[in-house]
Amino acid sequence: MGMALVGAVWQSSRLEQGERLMRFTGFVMCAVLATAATASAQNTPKTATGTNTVAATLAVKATLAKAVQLTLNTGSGCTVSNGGGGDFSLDFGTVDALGIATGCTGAGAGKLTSTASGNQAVYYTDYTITPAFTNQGTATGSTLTSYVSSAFGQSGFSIVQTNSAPSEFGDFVAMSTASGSPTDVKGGSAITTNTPLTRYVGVKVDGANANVPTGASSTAVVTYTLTIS
Amino acid sequence: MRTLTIVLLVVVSWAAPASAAPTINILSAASGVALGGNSGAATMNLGNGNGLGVGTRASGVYAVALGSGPVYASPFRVNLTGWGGSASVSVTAYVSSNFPRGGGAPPLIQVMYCVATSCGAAANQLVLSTSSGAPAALRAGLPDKSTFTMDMGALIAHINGSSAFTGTQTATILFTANDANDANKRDTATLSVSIAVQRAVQFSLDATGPPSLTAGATSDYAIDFGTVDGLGVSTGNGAARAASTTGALYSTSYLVRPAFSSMTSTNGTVQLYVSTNFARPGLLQLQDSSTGEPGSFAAISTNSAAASQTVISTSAQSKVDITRYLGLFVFAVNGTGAFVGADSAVVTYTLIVP
Repeated sequence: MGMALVGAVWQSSRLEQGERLMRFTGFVMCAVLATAATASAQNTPKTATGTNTVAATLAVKATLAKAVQLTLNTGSGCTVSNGGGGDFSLDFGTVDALGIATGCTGAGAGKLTSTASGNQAVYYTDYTITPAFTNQGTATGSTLTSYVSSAFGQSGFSIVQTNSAPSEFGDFVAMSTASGSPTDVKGGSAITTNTPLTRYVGVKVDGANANVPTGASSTAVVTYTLTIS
Repeated sequence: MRTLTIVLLVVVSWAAPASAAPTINILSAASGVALGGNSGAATMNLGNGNGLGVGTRASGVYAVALGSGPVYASPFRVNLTGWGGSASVSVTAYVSSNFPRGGGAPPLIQVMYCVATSCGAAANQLVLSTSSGAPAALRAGLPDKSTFTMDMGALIAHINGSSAFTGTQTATILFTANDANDANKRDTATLSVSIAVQRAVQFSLDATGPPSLTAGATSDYAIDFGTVDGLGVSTGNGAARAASTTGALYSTSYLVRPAFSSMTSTNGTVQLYVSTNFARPGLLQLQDSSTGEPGSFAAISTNSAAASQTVISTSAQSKVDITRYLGLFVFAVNGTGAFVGADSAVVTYTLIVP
Protein backbone atom coordinates (compact mmCIF):
# COMPACT_ATOMS: atom_id res chain seq x y z
CA MET A 1 0.00 0.00 0.00
CA GLY A 2 1.38 3.36 -0.95
CA MET A 3 1.01 6.70 0.66
CA ALA A 4 -2.26 8.50 0.62
CA LEU A 5 -2.61 12.19 0.13
CA VAL A 6 -5.69 14.02 1.18
CA GLY A 7 -7.00 17.28 -0.15
CA ALA A 8 -10.15 19.25 0.31
CA VAL A 9 -12.28 21.74 -1.54
CA TRP A 10 -14.94 23.93 -0.17
CA GLN A 11 -17.49 26.10 -1.76
CA SER A 12 -19.51 28.98 -0.52
CA SER A 13 -22.51 30.82 -1.86
CA ARG A 14 -24.56 33.83 -1.02
CA LEU A 15 -28.09 34.32 -2.24
CA GLU A 16 -29.19 37.89 -2.63
CA GLN A 17 -32.33 38.82 -4.51
CA GLY A 18 -32.20 35.65 -6.55
CA GLU A 19 -28.46 35.84 -7.12
CA ARG A 20 -26.10 33.36 -5.58
CA LEU A 21 -22.45 33.90 -4.88
CA MET A 22 -20.36 30.84 -4.61
CA ARG A 23 -16.81 30.21 -3.60
CA PHE A 24 -14.96 27.02 -4.31
CA THR A 25 -11.77 26.38 -2.43
CA GLY A 26 -9.44 23.45 -2.35
CA PHE A 27 -6.29 22.42 -0.66
CA VAL A 28 -3.72 19.75 -0.79
CA MET A 29 -2.11 18.54 2.35
CA CYS A 30 1.26 16.97 1.89
CA ALA A 31 2.84 14.54 4.27
CA VAL A 32 5.86 16.39 5.56
CA LEU A 33 8.48 15.42 8.04
CA ALA A 34 9.65 18.57 9.77
CA THR A 35 12.95 18.65 11.54
CA ALA A 36 14.30 21.79 13.10
CA ALA A 37 17.87 22.65 12.28
CA THR A 38 20.27 24.57 14.38
CA ALA A 39 23.46 26.34 13.48
CA SER A 40 26.51 24.54 14.66
CA ALA A 41 29.39 25.94 16.63
CA GLN A 42 32.71 26.48 14.93
CA ASN A 43 34.28 23.19 14.08
CA THR A 44 37.78 22.07 14.90
CA PRO A 45 40.10 22.71 11.96
CA LYS A 46 42.12 20.02 10.28
CA THR A 47 45.78 20.99 10.37
CA ALA A 48 49.17 19.91 9.14
CA THR A 49 52.65 21.31 9.63
CA GLY A 50 55.80 21.10 7.61
CA THR A 51 53.77 20.61 4.44
CA ASN A 52 51.66 22.53 1.97
CA THR A 53 48.62 20.28 1.80
CA VAL A 54 45.82 19.38 4.13
CA ALA A 55 42.74 17.29 3.42
CA ALA A 56 39.47 17.01 5.28
CA THR A 57 36.47 14.78 4.80
CA LEU A 58 32.82 15.62 4.99
CA ALA A 59 30.26 12.87 5.45
CA VAL A 60 26.91 13.65 3.88
CA LYS A 61 23.91 11.69 5.02
CA ALA A 62 20.33 11.68 3.86
CA THR A 63 17.33 9.50 4.34
CA LEU A 64 15.24 8.86 1.28
CA ALA A 65 11.52 8.88 1.77
CA LYS A 66 8.50 8.23 -0.33
CA ALA A 67 6.55 11.33 -1.21
CA VAL A 68 3.25 12.14 -2.82
CA GLN A 69 1.88 15.46 -3.92
CA LEU A 70 -1.37 16.68 -5.34
CA THR A 71 -1.87 20.08 -6.90
CA LEU A 72 -4.94 21.82 -8.21
CA ASN A 73 -4.47 24.46 -10.86
CA THR A 74 -6.52 26.66 -13.10
CA GLY A 75 -7.53 25.07 -16.35
CA SER A 76 -8.99 27.38 -18.97
CA GLY A 77 -11.93 28.41 -16.86
CA CYS A 78 -12.34 29.80 -13.39
CA THR A 79 -9.30 30.62 -11.39
CA VAL A 80 -8.00 28.13 -8.87
CA SER A 81 -5.91 29.96 -6.34
CA ASN A 82 -3.61 29.00 -3.54
CA GLY A 83 -4.95 29.58 -0.08
CA GLY A 84 -8.25 31.28 0.42
CA GLY A 85 -9.01 29.36 3.55
CA GLY A 86 -7.59 26.07 2.30
CA ASP A 87 -4.75 25.01 0.14
CA PHE A 88 -6.64 26.02 -2.96
CA SER A 89 -9.77 27.99 -3.58
CA LEU A 90 -12.20 28.42 -6.43
CA ASP A 91 -14.93 31.04 -6.41
CA PHE A 92 -17.89 30.49 -8.71
CA GLY A 93 -19.21 33.94 -7.98
CA THR A 94 -22.91 34.60 -8.16
CA VAL A 95 -25.10 31.76 -9.36
CA ASP A 96 -28.78 31.04 -9.67
CA ALA A 97 -31.03 28.17 -10.61
CA LEU A 98 -32.08 29.72 -13.89
CA GLY A 99 -28.54 30.14 -15.09
CA ILE A 100 -28.98 33.87 -15.42
CA ALA A 101 -26.02 34.97 -13.33
CA THR A 102 -22.69 34.92 -15.11
CA GLY A 103 -20.78 32.89 -12.56
CA CYS A 104 -17.06 32.78 -12.96
CA THR A 105 -15.81 33.01 -16.50
CA GLY A 106 -13.22 31.58 -18.84
CA ALA A 107 -13.10 29.33 -21.83
CA GLY A 108 -13.31 26.27 -19.68
CA ALA A 109 -16.15 27.56 -17.54
CA GLY A 110 -19.83 27.50 -18.31
CA LYS A 111 -23.31 26.86 -17.08
CA LEU A 112 -25.89 24.30 -18.05
CA THR A 113 -29.56 24.32 -17.11
CA SER A 114 -32.35 21.81 -16.85
CA THR A 115 -36.08 22.03 -16.22
CA ALA A 116 -36.63 18.32 -15.99
CA SER A 117 -37.04 18.52 -12.24
CA GLY A 118 -37.80 22.15 -11.79
CA ASN A 119 -35.33 24.89 -12.47
CA GLN A 120 -31.79 23.65 -12.02
CA ALA A 121 -28.44 24.92 -13.18
CA VAL A 122 -24.87 23.73 -13.02
CA TYR A 123 -22.13 26.31 -12.97
CA TYR A 124 -18.91 24.52 -13.78
CA THR A 125 -15.31 24.96 -14.68
CA ASP A 126 -12.45 22.85 -15.77
CA TYR A 127 -9.33 22.56 -13.63
CA THR A 128 -6.24 20.47 -13.56
CA ILE A 129 -5.28 18.07 -10.87
CA THR A 130 -1.65 17.00 -10.94
CA PRO A 131 -0.56 13.97 -9.00
CA ALA A 132 3.13 13.57 -8.30
CA PHE A 133 4.96 10.89 -6.44
CA THR A 134 8.45 9.58 -5.99
CA ASN A 135 10.25 6.63 -4.53
CA GLN A 136 7.16 4.51 -4.94
CA GLY A 137 7.39 0.92 -5.94
CA THR A 138 5.20 1.54 -8.94
CA ALA A 139 5.50 4.07 -11.69
CA THR A 140 1.78 4.23 -12.32
CA GLY A 141 -0.81 4.25 -9.78
CA SER A 142 -3.49 3.74 -8.29
CA THR A 143 -6.49 5.75 -7.22
CA LEU A 144 -7.53 9.36 -7.29
CA THR A 145 -10.81 10.11 -5.60
CA SER A 146 -12.79 12.94 -4.13
CA TYR A 147 -15.73 13.41 -1.86
CA VAL A 148 -17.57 16.28 -0.30
CA SER A 149 -16.24 16.32 3.20
CA SER A 150 -18.23 19.37 4.20
CA ALA A 151 -21.45 20.14 2.36
CA PHE A 152 -22.94 23.55 1.66
CA GLY A 153 -24.96 25.13 4.36
CA GLN A 154 -27.26 26.53 1.74
CA SER A 155 -30.01 24.13 0.81
CA GLY A 156 -30.26 23.50 -2.94
CA PHE A 157 -26.51 23.68 -3.46
CA SER A 158 -24.45 20.60 -4.21
CA ILE A 159 -21.13 19.67 -5.77
CA VAL A 160 -21.16 17.86 -9.09
CA GLN A 161 -18.32 16.68 -11.26
CA THR A 162 -17.33 14.87 -14.41
CA ASN A 163 -14.07 13.47 -15.67
CA SER A 164 -14.68 14.49 -19.27
CA ALA A 165 -15.74 17.69 -20.94
CA PRO A 166 -19.43 18.25 -20.33
CA SER A 167 -21.85 19.09 -23.10
CA GLU A 168 -25.13 18.91 -21.31
CA PHE A 169 -26.60 19.19 -17.85
CA GLY A 170 -26.83 15.46 -17.42
CA ASP A 171 -23.11 14.94 -17.91
CA PHE A 172 -22.53 15.99 -14.34
CA VAL A 173 -22.98 13.59 -11.48
CA ALA A 174 -23.19 14.36 -7.84
CA MET A 175 -19.94 14.06 -6.00
CA SER A 176 -20.01 11.51 -3.22
CA THR A 177 -20.43 12.78 0.29
CA ALA A 178 -19.18 9.54 1.83
CA SER A 179 -15.49 9.20 2.61
CA GLY A 180 -15.82 5.43 2.44
CA SER A 181 -17.11 5.47 -1.11
CA PRO A 182 -15.59 8.51 -2.77
CA THR A 183 -16.05 9.57 -6.37
CA ASP A 184 -13.45 8.37 -8.82
CA VAL A 185 -11.51 11.25 -10.34
CA LYS A 186 -8.99 9.11 -12.17
CA GLY A 187 -11.47 7.92 -14.77
CA GLY A 188 -9.83 6.23 -17.68
CA SER A 189 -6.59 8.14 -17.27
CA ALA A 190 -3.36 6.66 -16.09
CA ILE A 191 -1.98 8.32 -13.03
CA THR A 192 1.51 9.29 -13.99
CA THR A 193 3.68 11.51 -11.84
CA ASN A 194 3.69 15.13 -12.85
CA THR A 195 1.07 14.58 -15.53
CA PRO A 196 -1.89 16.90 -15.05
CA LEU A 197 -5.40 15.63 -15.51
CA THR A 198 -8.19 17.92 -16.63
CA ARG A 199 -11.35 17.49 -14.68
CA TYR A 200 -14.62 19.40 -14.26
CA VAL A 201 -16.32 20.47 -11.10
CA GLY A 202 -19.54 22.37 -10.72
CA VAL A 203 -22.08 23.73 -8.37
CA LYS A 204 -25.55 22.49 -8.95
CA VAL A 205 -28.27 24.95 -7.97
CA ASP A 206 -31.71 23.54 -7.36
CA GLY A 207 -34.40 26.20 -7.66
CA ALA A 208 -37.04 24.38 -5.71
CA ASN A 209 -39.04 26.75 -3.60
CA ALA A 210 -38.00 24.93 -0.49
CA ASN A 211 -34.46 26.07 -1.05
CA VAL A 212 -34.77 29.55 0.26
CA PRO A 213 -31.65 31.63 -0.27
CA THR A 214 -30.12 32.76 2.95
CA GLY A 215 -28.36 35.69 1.35
CA ALA A 216 -25.04 34.58 2.78
CA SER A 217 -22.20 32.88 1.02
CA SER A 218 -21.89 29.18 1.49
CA THR A 219 -18.92 26.92 1.39
CA ALA A 220 -18.33 23.26 0.73
CA VAL A 221 -15.18 21.29 1.17
CA VAL A 222 -14.05 18.54 -1.13
CA THR A 223 -11.34 16.12 -0.11
CA TYR A 224 -9.16 14.60 -2.80
CA THR A 225 -7.18 11.48 -2.10
CA LEU A 226 -4.30 10.12 -4.15
CA THR A 227 -3.12 6.65 -3.34
CA ILE A 228 -0.12 5.00 -4.92
CA SER A 229 0.10 1.32 -4.35
CA MET B 1 134.28 22.09 57.55
CA ARG B 2 131.49 23.75 56.27
CA THR B 3 128.19 23.53 57.70
CA LEU B 4 125.14 23.89 55.67
CA THR B 5 122.18 24.87 57.49
CA ILE B 6 118.87 24.61 55.84
CA VAL B 7 115.99 26.29 57.37
CA LEU B 8 112.66 25.06 56.40
CA LEU B 9 110.14 27.65 56.84
CA VAL B 10 106.75 26.30 56.97
CA VAL B 11 104.07 28.82 56.61
CA VAL B 12 100.54 27.91 57.14
CA SER B 13 97.98 30.40 56.01
CA TRP B 14 94.36 30.13 57.15
CA ALA B 15 92.65 32.75 55.23
CA ALA B 16 89.16 33.85 56.07
CA PRO B 17 86.60 32.76 53.37
CA ALA B 18 85.97 35.38 50.68
CA SER B 19 82.29 36.41 50.17
CA ALA B 20 80.51 34.83 47.07
CA ALA B 21 80.19 37.00 43.97
CA PRO B 22 76.69 38.29 43.22
CA THR B 23 75.21 36.06 40.59
CA ILE B 24 72.06 35.87 38.44
CA ASN B 25 71.17 32.35 37.38
CA ILE B 26 68.84 31.23 34.58
CA LEU B 27 67.31 27.91 35.54
CA SER B 28 64.67 25.52 34.26
CA ALA B 29 61.15 25.63 35.65
CA ALA B 30 59.38 22.40 36.42
CA SER B 31 56.52 23.17 34.03
CA GLY B 32 58.70 24.49 31.23
CA VAL B 33 61.20 23.14 28.79
CA ALA B 34 64.47 21.83 30.18
CA LEU B 35 67.06 24.50 29.60
CA GLY B 36 70.43 23.65 28.16
CA GLY B 37 73.76 25.36 28.60
CA ASN B 38 74.48 26.62 32.08
CA SER B 39 72.89 28.98 34.50
CA GLY B 40 74.91 31.91 33.19
CA ALA B 41 74.39 31.13 29.52
CA ALA B 42 71.28 29.04 29.23
CA THR B 43 69.53 27.84 26.11
CA MET B 44 65.83 27.32 25.54
CA ASN B 45 64.68 25.19 22.61
CA LEU B 46 61.01 25.81 21.92
CA GLY B 47 60.84 23.11 19.26
CA ASN B 48 58.62 23.62 16.24
CA GLY B 49 56.30 26.53 15.70
CA ASN B 50 54.26 28.11 12.93
CA GLY B 51 52.24 31.17 12.18
CA LEU B 52 48.94 29.39 12.75
CA GLY B 53 49.78 28.00 16.17
CA VAL B 54 48.76 24.52 15.08
CA GLY B 55 50.46 21.18 15.38
CA THR B 56 52.17 19.49 18.27
CA ARG B 57 54.26 21.64 20.57
CA ALA B 58 57.34 20.61 22.45
CA SER B 59 56.88 19.50 26.03
CA GLY B 60 56.68 22.47 28.35
CA VAL B 61 55.81 24.90 25.57
CA TYR B 62 52.44 26.61 25.36
CA ALA B 63 50.96 28.85 22.69
CA VAL B 64 48.97 32.03 23.00
CA ALA B 65 47.19 33.49 20.00
CA LEU B 66 47.83 37.14 19.29
CA GLY B 67 46.43 39.13 16.42
CA SER B 68 49.54 38.86 14.33
CA GLY B 69 50.31 35.25 15.17
CA PRO B 70 50.92 32.83 17.98
CA VAL B 71 53.43 33.15 20.81
CA TYR B 72 55.29 29.97 21.66
CA ALA B 73 56.67 30.30 25.16
CA SER B 74 57.92 28.45 28.20
CA PRO B 75 58.38 29.36 31.84
CA PHE B 76 61.81 29.40 33.46
CA ARG B 77 63.33 30.61 36.73
CA VAL B 78 65.61 33.51 37.57
CA ASN B 79 67.64 33.02 40.73
CA LEU B 80 69.85 35.47 42.66
CA THR B 81 72.72 34.37 44.88
CA GLY B 82 75.62 36.08 46.62
CA TRP B 83 74.09 39.51 46.84
CA GLY B 84 74.36 39.91 50.62
CA GLY B 85 71.82 40.67 53.21
CA SER B 86 71.20 44.28 52.27
CA ALA B 87 70.68 43.73 48.59
CA SER B 88 67.82 45.24 46.67
CA VAL B 89 68.25 43.79 43.26
CA SER B 90 66.54 44.82 40.06
CA VAL B 91 66.53 42.59 37.00
CA THR B 92 66.23 43.84 33.44
CA ALA B 93 66.46 42.14 30.07
CA TYR B 94 66.69 42.97 26.40
CA VAL B 95 67.34 41.15 23.18
CA SER B 96 71.05 41.41 22.69
CA SER B 97 71.01 39.31 19.54
CA ASN B 98 67.73 39.22 17.68
CA PHE B 99 66.23 36.47 15.56
CA PRO B 100 67.71 36.65 12.08
CA ARG B 101 64.21 37.35 10.69
CA GLY B 102 63.33 39.56 13.63
CA GLY B 103 63.86 42.81 11.79
CA GLY B 104 61.58 44.65 9.41
CA ALA B 105 58.28 46.27 9.95
CA PRO B 106 56.39 44.46 11.09
CA PRO B 107 58.88 41.91 12.37
CA LEU B 108 58.28 38.37 11.21
CA ILE B 109 59.37 36.92 14.53
CA GLN B 110 59.85 38.61 17.89
CA VAL B 111 61.08 37.75 21.37
CA MET B 112 58.19 37.88 23.81
CA TYR B 113 58.18 37.81 27.58
CA CYS B 114 55.66 37.58 30.35
CA VAL B 115 56.12 38.45 34.02
CA ALA B 116 52.42 38.35 34.91
CA THR B 117 50.71 35.61 36.83
CA SER B 118 48.57 34.59 33.90
CA CYS B 119 50.77 34.28 30.86
CA GLY B 120 48.00 32.51 28.96
CA ALA B 121 46.34 35.88 28.50
CA ALA B 122 47.38 37.53 25.25
CA ALA B 123 47.60 40.92 26.89
CA ASN B 124 50.31 39.66 29.23
CA GLN B 125 52.60 38.64 26.39
CA LEU B 126 54.91 41.60 25.74
CA VAL B 127 57.49 42.33 23.11
CA LEU B 128 60.95 42.34 24.63
CA SER B 129 63.04 45.40 23.96
CA THR B 130 65.90 45.09 21.52
CA SER B 131 67.59 48.19 22.92
CA SER B 132 70.37 47.93 25.47
CA GLY B 133 69.56 51.46 26.49
CA ALA B 134 65.96 50.65 27.27
CA PRO B 135 65.77 47.14 28.63
CA ALA B 136 62.57 45.74 30.04
CA ALA B 137 62.33 46.00 33.81
CA LEU B 138 61.41 42.54 35.00
CA ARG B 139 61.62 42.80 38.77
CA ALA B 140 62.98 45.24 41.38
CA GLY B 141 63.69 45.24 45.10
CA LEU B 142 64.63 41.61 45.21
CA PRO B 143 66.63 40.34 48.21
CA ASP B 144 69.47 37.92 48.03
CA LYS B 145 68.55 34.32 47.29
CA SER B 146 65.39 35.38 45.46
CA THR B 147 63.87 33.27 42.76
CA PHE B 148 61.10 34.27 40.44
CA THR B 149 59.49 32.58 37.47
CA MET B 150 58.78 34.28 34.20
CA ASP B 151 58.13 33.21 30.63
CA MET B 152 60.08 33.78 27.47
CA GLY B 153 59.07 32.91 23.93
CA ALA B 154 58.76 33.79 20.30
CA LEU B 155 55.94 35.40 18.34
CA ILE B 156 55.74 33.94 14.85
CA ALA B 157 53.87 36.23 12.54
CA HIS B 158 51.18 34.69 10.34
CA ILE B 159 52.60 35.64 6.99
CA ASN B 160 52.83 34.33 3.46
CA GLY B 161 54.47 35.53 0.27
CA SER B 162 57.97 36.60 -0.56
CA SER B 163 58.90 37.41 3.01
CA ALA B 164 57.79 34.04 4.36
CA PHE B 165 60.50 31.89 5.83
CA THR B 166 61.07 28.59 7.55
CA GLY B 167 63.90 27.17 9.62
CA THR B 168 65.42 27.62 13.02
CA GLN B 169 65.65 31.08 14.49
CA THR B 170 67.71 31.92 17.56
CA ALA B 171 67.78 35.06 19.65
CA THR B 172 69.81 35.86 22.77
CA ILE B 173 68.41 37.72 25.72
CA LEU B 174 70.76 39.45 28.12
CA PHE B 175 69.64 39.61 31.73
CA THR B 176 71.24 42.15 34.04
CA ALA B 177 70.95 42.25 37.80
CA ASN B 178 71.93 45.37 39.74
CA ASP B 179 71.94 45.99 43.46
CA ALA B 180 70.36 49.31 44.12
CA ASN B 181 72.23 49.48 47.42
CA ASP B 182 75.64 48.68 46.03
CA ALA B 183 76.68 49.89 42.63
CA ASN B 184 79.55 47.46 42.65
CA LYS B 185 77.26 44.47 42.73
CA ARG B 186 76.14 43.60 39.25
CA ASP B 187 75.88 40.44 37.18
CA THR B 188 74.57 39.32 33.82
CA ALA B 189 73.37 36.10 32.27
CA THR B 190 72.08 35.12 28.85
CA LEU B 191 69.28 32.98 27.59
CA SER B 192 69.30 31.87 23.96
CA VAL B 193 65.83 31.07 22.64
CA SER B 194 65.48 28.89 19.56
CA ILE B 195 62.44 27.88 17.56
CA ALA B 196 62.09 26.03 14.28
CA VAL B 197 59.58 27.84 12.10
CA GLN B 198 57.55 25.51 9.91
CA ARG B 199 54.98 25.84 7.18
CA ALA B 200 51.47 25.10 8.29
CA VAL B 201 48.11 24.55 6.61
CA GLN B 202 44.68 24.46 8.12
CA PHE B 203 41.23 23.72 6.76
CA SER B 204 37.80 23.70 8.27
CA LEU B 205 34.15 23.71 7.31
CA ASP B 206 31.39 25.47 9.17
CA ALA B 207 27.69 25.83 8.61
CA THR B 208 26.03 29.12 7.84
CA GLY B 209 22.53 27.73 7.68
CA PRO B 210 20.65 24.55 8.29
CA PRO B 211 21.34 21.68 8.19
CA SER B 212 24.03 21.70 10.85
CA LEU B 213 27.58 20.93 9.83
CA THR B 214 29.34 19.34 12.74
CA ALA B 215 32.31 17.23 13.65
CA GLY B 216 31.98 13.79 12.14
CA ALA B 217 32.23 10.45 13.86
CA THR B 218 34.21 8.69 11.15
CA SER B 219 35.00 11.75 9.08
CA ASP B 220 36.29 15.20 9.94
CA TYR B 221 32.92 16.85 9.40
CA ALA B 222 29.38 15.68 8.86
CA ILE B 223 26.13 17.05 7.54
CA ASP B 224 22.76 15.33 7.66
CA PHE B 225 20.10 16.44 5.22
CA GLY B 226 17.60 14.36 7.12
CA THR B 227 14.60 13.14 5.22
CA VAL B 228 14.54 14.03 1.54
CA ASP B 229 12.54 13.04 -1.50
CA GLY B 230 12.43 13.67 -5.20
CA LEU B 231 9.52 16.06 -4.95
CA GLY B 232 11.11 18.35 -2.40
CA VAL B 233 8.28 17.74 0.00
CA SER B 234 10.39 16.56 2.93
CA THR B 235 12.14 19.35 4.78
CA GLY B 236 15.70 18.09 4.50
CA ASN B 237 16.57 19.34 7.98
CA GLY B 238 15.88 22.90 6.92
CA ALA B 239 17.85 22.91 3.68
CA ALA B 240 16.71 25.11 0.83
CA ARG B 241 14.55 23.17 -1.62
CA ALA B 242 13.95 23.53 -5.32
CA ALA B 243 11.91 21.02 -7.26
CA SER B 244 12.20 20.31 -10.96
CA THR B 245 10.77 17.79 -13.34
CA THR B 246 13.60 15.38 -12.68
CA GLY B 247 13.86 15.70 -8.92
CA ALA B 248 14.50 18.03 -6.03
CA LEU B 249 17.62 19.90 -5.01
CA TYR B 250 18.26 20.30 -1.31
CA SER B 251 21.01 22.82 -0.67
CA THR B 252 22.72 24.74 2.06
CA SER B 253 25.42 27.35 2.33
CA TYR B 254 28.54 26.75 4.36
CA LEU B 255 31.93 28.23 5.00
CA VAL B 256 35.17 26.90 3.58
CA ARG B 257 37.96 28.17 5.80
CA PRO B 258 41.49 27.84 4.49
CA ALA B 259 44.49 29.09 6.41
CA PHE B 260 48.19 28.73 5.86
CA SER B 261 51.43 30.27 7.01
CA SER B 262 55.07 30.57 5.98
CA MET B 263 54.16 29.82 2.37
CA THR B 264 55.82 31.63 -0.48
CA SER B 265 52.46 31.85 -2.24
CA THR B 266 49.59 33.91 -0.94
CA ASN B 267 47.06 31.87 -2.88
CA GLY B 268 45.96 28.33 -2.31
CA THR B 269 43.77 25.93 -4.23
CA VAL B 270 40.73 24.35 -2.62
CA GLN B 271 39.19 21.42 -4.42
CA LEU B 272 36.90 18.56 -3.60
CA TYR B 273 35.60 15.30 -4.91
CA VAL B 274 33.22 12.60 -3.81
CA SER B 275 35.58 10.04 -2.37
CA THR B 276 32.79 7.67 -1.38
CA ASN B 277 29.64 7.96 -3.37
CA PHE B 278 26.14 7.14 -2.26
CA ALA B 279 25.20 3.52 -2.47
CA ARG B 280 22.40 4.63 -4.78
CA PRO B 281 23.88 7.23 -7.10
CA GLY B 282 20.82 6.94 -9.28
CA LEU B 283 18.79 8.50 -6.50
CA LEU B 284 21.20 10.90 -4.82
CA GLN B 285 23.88 13.17 -6.23
CA LEU B 286 26.09 15.74 -4.52
CA GLN B 287 26.38 19.10 -6.23
CA ASP B 288 28.35 22.28 -5.71
CA SER B 289 27.68 25.94 -6.40
CA SER B 290 29.47 29.18 -5.78
CA THR B 291 26.30 31.25 -5.67
CA GLY B 292 23.49 28.96 -4.62
CA GLU B 293 21.39 30.38 -7.45
CA PRO B 294 19.03 28.04 -9.31
CA GLY B 295 20.83 26.45 -12.20
CA SER B 296 24.26 27.15 -10.75
CA PHE B 297 24.73 23.75 -9.16
CA ALA B 298 26.88 21.16 -10.83
CA ALA B 299 27.67 17.61 -9.84
CA ILE B 300 30.76 17.26 -7.70
CA SER B 301 33.47 15.23 -9.35
CA THR B 302 33.81 11.63 -8.31
CA ASN B 303 37.32 11.48 -9.74
CA SER B 304 40.14 11.68 -7.24
CA ALA B 305 42.69 12.77 -9.83
CA ALA B 306 43.77 16.25 -8.88
CA ALA B 307 43.13 17.60 -12.35
CA SER B 308 39.62 16.19 -12.38
CA GLN B 309 38.38 17.34 -9.02
CA THR B 310 35.84 20.10 -8.60
CA VAL B 311 37.67 23.34 -7.87
CA ILE B 312 36.31 25.79 -5.34
CA SER B 313 39.08 28.32 -5.69
CA THR B 314 42.57 28.67 -7.06
CA SER B 315 43.10 31.94 -5.24
CA ALA B 316 42.05 31.07 -1.74
CA GLN B 317 43.71 33.40 0.73
CA SER B 318 44.73 32.49 4.22
CA LYS B 319 42.10 33.18 6.84
CA VAL B 320 39.60 34.43 4.27
CA ASP B 321 36.39 32.43 4.40
CA ILE B 322 34.73 31.25 1.22
CA THR B 323 30.97 30.89 1.20
CA ARG B 324 30.01 27.84 -0.78
CA TYR B 325 26.85 25.87 -1.43
CA LEU B 326 26.45 22.14 -1.11
CA GLY B 327 23.59 20.59 -3.00
CA LEU B 328 21.97 17.21 -2.64
CA PHE B 329 19.96 16.36 -5.70
CA VAL B 330 17.30 13.72 -5.16
CA PHE B 331 16.13 12.14 -8.36
CA ALA B 332 12.40 11.54 -8.67
CA VAL B 333 12.32 7.85 -9.34
CA ASN B 334 9.52 5.33 -9.10
CA GLY B 335 9.36 1.65 -9.82
CA THR B 336 12.15 -0.80 -9.31
CA GLY B 337 14.74 1.90 -8.64
CA ALA B 338 12.87 3.28 -5.68
CA PHE B 339 14.47 3.04 -2.27
CA VAL B 340 13.44 4.16 1.18
CA GLY B 341 16.10 4.53 3.83
CA ALA B 342 19.39 6.16 4.72
CA ASP B 343 22.35 6.62 2.44
CA SER B 344 25.62 8.47 2.85
CA ALA B 345 28.58 9.74 0.90
CA VAL B 346 31.94 11.27 1.74
CA VAL B 347 33.42 14.36 0.16
CA THR B 348 37.14 14.98 0.45
CA TYR B 349 38.34 18.56 0.42
CA THR B 350 41.96 19.42 -0.21
CA LEU B 351 43.80 22.66 0.34
CA ILE B 352 47.06 22.95 -1.54
CA VAL B 353 49.32 25.96 -1.28
CA PRO B 354 51.99 25.92 -3.96
